[in-house]
Amino acid sequence: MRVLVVDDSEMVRDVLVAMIRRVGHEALPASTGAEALAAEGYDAVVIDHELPDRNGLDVARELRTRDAALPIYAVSGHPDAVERSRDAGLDGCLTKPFKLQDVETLLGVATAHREFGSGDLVQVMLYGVIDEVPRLLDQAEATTDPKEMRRLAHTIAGALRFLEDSRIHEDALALERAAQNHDIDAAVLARLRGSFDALLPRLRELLG
Amino acid sequence: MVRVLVVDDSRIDRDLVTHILSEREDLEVEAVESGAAALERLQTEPPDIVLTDLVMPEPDGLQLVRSLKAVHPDLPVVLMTSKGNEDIAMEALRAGAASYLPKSAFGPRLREVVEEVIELSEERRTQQELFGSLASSQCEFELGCEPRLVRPLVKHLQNAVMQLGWCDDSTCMQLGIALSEALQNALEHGNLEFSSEAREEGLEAYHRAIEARSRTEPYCHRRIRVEARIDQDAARFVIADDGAGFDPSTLPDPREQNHLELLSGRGVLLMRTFMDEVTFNEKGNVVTMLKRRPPPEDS
Repeated sequence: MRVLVVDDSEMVRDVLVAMIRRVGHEALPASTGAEALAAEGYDAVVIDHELPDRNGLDVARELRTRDAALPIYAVSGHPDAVERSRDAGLDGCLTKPFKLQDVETLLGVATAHREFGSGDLVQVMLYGVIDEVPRLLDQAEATTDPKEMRRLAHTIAGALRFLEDSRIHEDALALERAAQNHDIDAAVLARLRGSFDALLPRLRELLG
Repeated sequence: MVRVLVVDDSRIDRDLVTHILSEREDLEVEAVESGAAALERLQTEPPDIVLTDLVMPEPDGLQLVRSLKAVHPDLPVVLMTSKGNEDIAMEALRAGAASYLPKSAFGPRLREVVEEVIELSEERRTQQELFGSLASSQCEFELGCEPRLVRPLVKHLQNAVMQLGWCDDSTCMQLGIALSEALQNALEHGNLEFSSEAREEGLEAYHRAIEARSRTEPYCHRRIRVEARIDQDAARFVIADDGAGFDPSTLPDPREQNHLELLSGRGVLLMRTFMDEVTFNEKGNVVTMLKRRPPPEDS
C-alpha cells in the first residue's frame, strides 16, 4: 500500500515515512495542503490537522470527495484530536506520540478498508475483533486438546489477518502450526495474549 | 428473495459477510455458528445458497459439504477459505462445493461470487424445469468407420437420457459403458471383422490395425446406424452394423464362473449387466438395448 503522508513538520514526516516503510508499505510525503491535493497514486492518507496553507481536515474532506473508499486518518497531538477527526468524517486518528505498532495497526486497518471498499465494514470487523479475540484467547488458555487449540489459533489468526506479517499475526500462525504438530506452545500463547492486550486500546481508539 | 445461509464459527466473518451481502436487497442473509446449526436450519427452511467456513468444530466445512450434498445435491455451496486450508478446500470442491473465495478477498468480490453462483444455479433450475416438461426425445445417427466419434456419440446419448430427468449419475455412467461397448462391438467386430483375440497383440497394435482397416475396401463403406428413443418410461437404443453378424449363443454365459477372466464376450456381458434387456436379431448384426426407468425408491 502507498500512503500519502501530509505534515509540515519535517521531523514528524520523516518519522512517519520511516515507520511506514519499516512495516512494509510505501510512503509519499507532502508538506502542504496544495501538495497533498496535487499528489497522485496513493491508497491511504495520513494528514496533520493544521497545515501552513490550509486546514488539514478541509483538505481531507476534499480528498474524500474524489474517492469515497479512500481511508483517511489524522495525525495530531491535540487532546480532542480523535473526536475532531471523527466529526470531520475521517476514519481515525494517529495520536502523538505514536509508536511503530500504532502505525502498523493503522496501516493494517487501512488495508482492510481498501479491500472492503468501505469504512463501515472496518467498524464491523474491529467490533468483532474486540469482542471475539479475548474470548478465543480465554478458550485457548483453558484447552489441553491440540485439535481444539489448532482451530482456536486458526480462528484468531483469521480474526487478525488485517495485521498480516505483523508479530501478533505471526504468533497466531505459529500457535496454529504447533497445534498441528500436536503441541501446545504456552510461551507463544502468553506472548499473543500480551500483544493483544497492547493492541486493544489502539483498536478502541480507531473506533473513536 | 434469495436466501443465503452463512456458516462460520468466527463472529467477525459472520458479521462481515452478513453486512456485505445485505447491501443487496434481494438477498436474505442468515448466519449460524456451526455446521450442526446449519444442518438443523436446513431441515426447517432450506436456503438457496450456503457459504461456509472450513475450519470449525465438527462437523467442519468439509463434513458439512458432504452432508449437504447427500441430502440436497442441487444446493450450491461456496467455501470461504483462509491460508493453510487449501488442501481441505480442494477436497470440499471435489465433494461438490460450487466455488470458493479466500477470506482475504471479502468485500466487493464476495458479492460477485455469490451473484455468479446464484445465477448459474437459477439457470440450472429453469433448465431442469424446462426439461421437466420434455416428454420424449429421439435421434438417429449414421456413422462411417470413425472410432473417434464413438465417445462423443455416447456422451450425446447420455445427455439425452439425463434430460428426461429420471436417470441418476450412476445409472447414466452404466448406460454410457453399455452404449460404448455396443458401439465398439459394431465397429470393431461387426464392420471391421476383428475377433476378440486381435486385442491380445497389444492395444497399440490393435488400434493401428483398426485405423488401417477402416480406410480399406470393403470395410470403409460400412456404416453403423444408431437409433435412440427416450421417454418417461424407458430408453431404447438400436445399433446396427453392416458386418456378417454372429451367434450370440456362442458367447460365454455370464452366469458361469470365471467368465470375467475372458475378454471375449466382456462387452456383451457389461451390456447385459447394465441394461434391462439386450436382444440381437437373428443374423446378429443388430442389437436392441432397453433401460427402464427405475421404480421410485421407498423412503
